[in-house]
Amino acid sequence: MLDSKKAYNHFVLLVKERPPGDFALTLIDSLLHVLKETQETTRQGLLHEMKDNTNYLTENLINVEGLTRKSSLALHTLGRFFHHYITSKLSGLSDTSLEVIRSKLVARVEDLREFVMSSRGKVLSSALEFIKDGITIFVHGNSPLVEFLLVEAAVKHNKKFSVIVSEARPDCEGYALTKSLLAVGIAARLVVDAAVAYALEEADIVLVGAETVVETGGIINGIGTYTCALCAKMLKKPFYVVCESFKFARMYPLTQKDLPEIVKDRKTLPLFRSRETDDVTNLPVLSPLCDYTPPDLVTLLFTDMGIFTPVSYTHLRAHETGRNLVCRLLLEKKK
Amino acid sequence: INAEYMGTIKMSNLISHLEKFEVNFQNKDAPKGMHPDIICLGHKLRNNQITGTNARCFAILITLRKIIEEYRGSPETINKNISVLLDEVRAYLRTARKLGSGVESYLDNLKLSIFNSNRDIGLGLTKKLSDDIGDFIDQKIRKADDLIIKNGLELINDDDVILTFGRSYVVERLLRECKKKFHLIIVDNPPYYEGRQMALRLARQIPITYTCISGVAYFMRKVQKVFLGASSMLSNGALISRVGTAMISCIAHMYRKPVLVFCETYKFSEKTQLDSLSENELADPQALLEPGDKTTAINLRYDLTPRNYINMVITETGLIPPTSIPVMLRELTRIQGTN
Repeated sequence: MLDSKKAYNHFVLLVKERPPGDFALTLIDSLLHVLKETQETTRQGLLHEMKDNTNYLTENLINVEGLTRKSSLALHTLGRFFHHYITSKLSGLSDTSLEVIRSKLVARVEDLREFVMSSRGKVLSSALEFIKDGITIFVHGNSPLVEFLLVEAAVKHNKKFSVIVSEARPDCEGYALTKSLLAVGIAARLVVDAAVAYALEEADIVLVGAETVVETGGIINGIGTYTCALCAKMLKKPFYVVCESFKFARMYPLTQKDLPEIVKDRKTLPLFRSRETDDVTNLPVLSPLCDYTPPDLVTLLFTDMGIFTPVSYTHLRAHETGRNLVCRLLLEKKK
Repeated sequence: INAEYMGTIKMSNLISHLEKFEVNFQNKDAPKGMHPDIICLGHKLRNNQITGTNARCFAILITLRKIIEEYRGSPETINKNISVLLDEVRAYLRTARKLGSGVESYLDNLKLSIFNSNRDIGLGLTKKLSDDIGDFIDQKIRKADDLIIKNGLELINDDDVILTFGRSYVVERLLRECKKKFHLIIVDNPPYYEGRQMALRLARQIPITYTCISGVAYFMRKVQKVFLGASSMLSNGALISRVGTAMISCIAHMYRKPVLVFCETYKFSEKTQLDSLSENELADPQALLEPGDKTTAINLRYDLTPRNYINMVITETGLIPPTSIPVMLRELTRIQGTN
């Protein structure tokens, strides 16, 4: 009896146990759990079970408590990536015993897990030399990767810099980021979204994370990123994006209207956070969750596979094997 | 020396490196023994009776295939003879009109395959070449266009306003096959007014606004997408297309409207070019003038649209950014090498 909800249930469990933010590893762990406990006796059956579980999990991510709708976009991409990864690895195994196949596959997935786990450190080493002493960094929203980067740079590498954080309404993620930066002694200041252009005058660089990097080399990230990017371009400030390579998706938006459904509209989530909330709940609103920043506004992409201009990113994607759409470089076993 | 004279000298310097348009082609004798179909083709190309990169490529290859099939020489020296025949035909057609980079690179490959063929292949060579040409037309033009249209149909939404320039075969087919409700703005350009053909063919099923380039800035605000065809696409992501395309793309970029280029992969070239004038084709300057007018006219056929004005290229292999063209070329040569 095929249980497609196994991975999903395990995922919900792990999300409760683990600290918030690191969902990529949790996703892989849930799928690994299914793989380890599979009762399937044929290759096709195994593949089918993994596919069903991955699909169910990625489609129901929005129902998971503790997971924001935005992160579900990145995880969706990771889920598809995982599926292609498994399919291609499976087709490369010529063993007849399913036990052997299963254990080899588990080993490959654990390689992937290790890769994902180490991607943070690699992004850090890419980006570190761009965080110079004495600069002012403007950050929009709260990407866990950006937080990790700034904290490590200040604490482990003794860099001295100051940060201006934008509020990032309506979720106001900026508050949490400011607090964690202050806690490690970084000079951080909070600013309202409307003051982005004003604050950028003082900033030297802009640093943001990304939910997804799309085919053009542009990014999909929390609402307000596009605004920051446009201001940065006008004011001639470099706009840097940090993101792991498993967030590269096969999407090709041309305009804001082409964003995936899941991030186009907040639907029922509360829109405004203020004392005057009661007055605004009945007004018609335009409430996107994320926006698309085109590649001509992005200066550099810092990833675990190196530093890319949004242009050369497409050369990276080109290393994809025929139909499997998974970056060949990512598939190489790490020595 | 007056200002007019200086003007003429300056203008000539701009284009003096380009091949002059030969006015007396009609009266020249074709080389002895040239197949009449080729002579006919040469004249048609010359007189703009066949226009458009796809149409010209198709016509050239179909005619070439016919004369290869009609080869009646000795089987012993067939390899050499056909090779020489190919060279003569190419040289003659080039005097009529430049062939186009896609056709040229295919014919180079064809010549290579003759060279690599078995010495004893005999009359089997004609069949081999004929099949090769047939496959190319089938895969790289017909099926490629089907796939491009399949990809392109998803890019049109109801109530869109789409702008197109001149007349591209694949864009016209795409718009004709689209069942959604949209409005089309066709932008046209003297001297050949190719957009009129497109307007005539589509007017029955699509509401059309027809204008010339001078009107584009006015309409661009209302446009959702710009659809363009290609003569070729270069390794630096630049687009070579009908003169005027660069202006349209520039205006579209200014208004932040997406520019989509529909291009088969056989049109991808390894060349790079930075501007429209270093390499171009001159057509009959008289087409721009009233009869009897003695003004110096420059009738350029193509222009170059830089990479950053193009948002997406739709090929039979999928949707790619213009920066991926050299990558695509590498992959295609690799795939071809393994076949």
